[in-house]
Amino acid sequence: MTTPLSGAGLSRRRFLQLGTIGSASLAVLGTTASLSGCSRPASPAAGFDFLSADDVVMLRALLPVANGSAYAAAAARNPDLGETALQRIDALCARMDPPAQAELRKLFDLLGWSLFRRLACGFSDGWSEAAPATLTAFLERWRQSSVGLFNAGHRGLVKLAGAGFWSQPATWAASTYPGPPAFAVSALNR
Amino acid sequence: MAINDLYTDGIGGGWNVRDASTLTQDEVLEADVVIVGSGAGGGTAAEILTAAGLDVLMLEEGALYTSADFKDMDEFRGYTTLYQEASARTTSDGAVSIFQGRAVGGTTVVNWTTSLRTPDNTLAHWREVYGVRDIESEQMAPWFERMEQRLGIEPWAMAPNRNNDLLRAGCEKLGVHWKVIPRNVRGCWNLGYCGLGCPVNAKQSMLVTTIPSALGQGMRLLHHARAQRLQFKGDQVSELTVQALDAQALRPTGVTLRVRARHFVLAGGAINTPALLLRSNAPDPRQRIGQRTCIHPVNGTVARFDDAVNGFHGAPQSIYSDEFLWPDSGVGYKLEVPPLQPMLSSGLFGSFGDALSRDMATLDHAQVNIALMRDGFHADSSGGQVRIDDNGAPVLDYDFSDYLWDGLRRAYLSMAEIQFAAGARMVRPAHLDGRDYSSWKEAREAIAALPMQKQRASLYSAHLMGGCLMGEDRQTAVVDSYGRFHEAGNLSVIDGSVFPTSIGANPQLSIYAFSARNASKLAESLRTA
Repeated sequence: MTTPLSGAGLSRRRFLQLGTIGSASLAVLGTTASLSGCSRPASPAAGFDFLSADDVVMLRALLPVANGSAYAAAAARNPDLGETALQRIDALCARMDPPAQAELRKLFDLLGWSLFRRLACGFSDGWSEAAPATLTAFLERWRQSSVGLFNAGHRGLVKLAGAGFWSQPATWAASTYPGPPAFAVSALNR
Repeated sequence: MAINDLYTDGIGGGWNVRDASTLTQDEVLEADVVIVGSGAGGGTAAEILTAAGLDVLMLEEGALYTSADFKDMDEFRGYTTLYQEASARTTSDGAVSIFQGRAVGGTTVVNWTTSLRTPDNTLAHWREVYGVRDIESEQMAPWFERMEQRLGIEPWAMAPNRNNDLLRAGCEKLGVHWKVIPRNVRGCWNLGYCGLGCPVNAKQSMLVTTIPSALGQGMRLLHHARAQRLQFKGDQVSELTVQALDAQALRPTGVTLRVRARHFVLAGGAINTPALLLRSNAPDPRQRIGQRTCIHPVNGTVARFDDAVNGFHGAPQSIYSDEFLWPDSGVGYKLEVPPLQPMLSSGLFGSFGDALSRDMATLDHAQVNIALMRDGFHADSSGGQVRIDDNGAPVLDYDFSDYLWDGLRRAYLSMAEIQFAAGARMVRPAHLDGRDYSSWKEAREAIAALPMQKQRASLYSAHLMGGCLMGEDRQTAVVDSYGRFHEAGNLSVIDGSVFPTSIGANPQLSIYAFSARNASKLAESLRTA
């Protein structure tokens, strides 16, 4: 990586150190977490099939940050947009095969742990307290990381948040998408 | 205009279609032939075996959806109901997104209709390196012709949408190869939603062709039914255990079906077929099951044009280029374009936050090229591996050699050059380090320096091939040249997992043709047995 780490306030060297710590952290902390009972099998929140209550809090915080200005604009006009996005993310996760679900569960559990967030994400606030700028810096940090695992985490979070949001008709105006051709919709649904 | 729903009419007329989620008791089912899977391989085999007078039972783990379910043309509905893992399937490390169908009709319900024959070079490679017999071009031609006629496959006669036409224009400008794509459609409305299930029954998928034809001749179809384990006894399969799945087609209901048949045909595709054999501890003395899984790794470049492209509407794929498919050295790749509806597109840009909002705000001006790597033809590209986890669930490992990375980099370059030649204002590789480049010169230099790494390059696969290789040499092959399992007499594999390498073209017509050939041979042997 030759990109300077603008915005994160970290030197490249410091970042790489943190990246290394973070990479080891994922394995070590993951094990510690499950041994110490920090990573209990998460039970789905009420109304969800896969997402736990903690996951929902995290994703609610990440949705606007991952999708940018279009999110606030669409949410202002559609009060249900955020909850619909969470339901859609939950539906995607619930339909993954068990091996993929196990990986996702590990990631979500680690992200729910403040020690992990401090070491690997660069902040230790709770998800609902963290400022949008802090969360943007976190996503940017995992995106720029030289550790593939963090890049994968970044991709996974952004992809889920994007699917939950941009799949909704309420966002079509923001993506210049007119929807299915009107003639076909009216002919087929007559 | 109401679209006639084939299944409502057919079931009303006496078709034997059952939903295993509604079963409350274990059952024993018997048939001459049981077919596991209903996609390109299973669907083709079903029609041929049923027409031969055999009593056929088809099993499908996904649900039955029909045109009536597709008329909303909605991305979220399509991606979450018609694809494996709700379209969130990936390789084991998450580096490659995998689009594979999961419904009655399999991937043929959701593919983009591109129907190309197996290239002669590929057939020659299989003969020479893998000892596959009876696949001279002249021997295969009648099978391609037969399936082209069966499925209405013809070069697309309407004008390509602008997303495709800009690929054509760029190739034309540079003087490189391009051609019109043959599509398996009849009466296509040119809407652009092939990936979400065809709402007008124009796409000649297995759902609307071979499966209805087989049902009309007495085949039984059981959906929401997951093949769990084959029982091997000596050199025969004696029984298949099947789990009924719940209404969502996700979890077993606890109802178990035992299926007995003279012959077992596996057609679950190149991930699920090897996984079923591995779960079953199938005889595999040389550990070949699940090896050499090829995926046509795909990368892409996003261009912006001054005039609207509107890539979300119109037949998704109608132009391709094979200019770079058979280079003198290095991996070859095929160039095509994807449809650009917003949910799918939101992942292409590689951006997040306000940058993603900005990218999506000009989606109507975006044009995207994709390149499909012809993997599996070289010692440095031997494909991936399907294995099962402790609970028997399939997992696909796939690694990228320098040889493949080199091809992916050259593909970024080819695609960007074509886009600038077509008049693009800027081009960005789908890669975490990709930026908007405003000239071919700038793009060329930047792409040359892109770090070619997993998780940084955006990679996709919609084509799964291999894992149960065909051939006469038992050292390398799982099945013979006609799909018969080497280690058991009454077991065949009839799907994309028999291919020894990738195809070098979208695989559906290859699967149709080989399946028609192999099912015909099987019907003959079962009739005379």
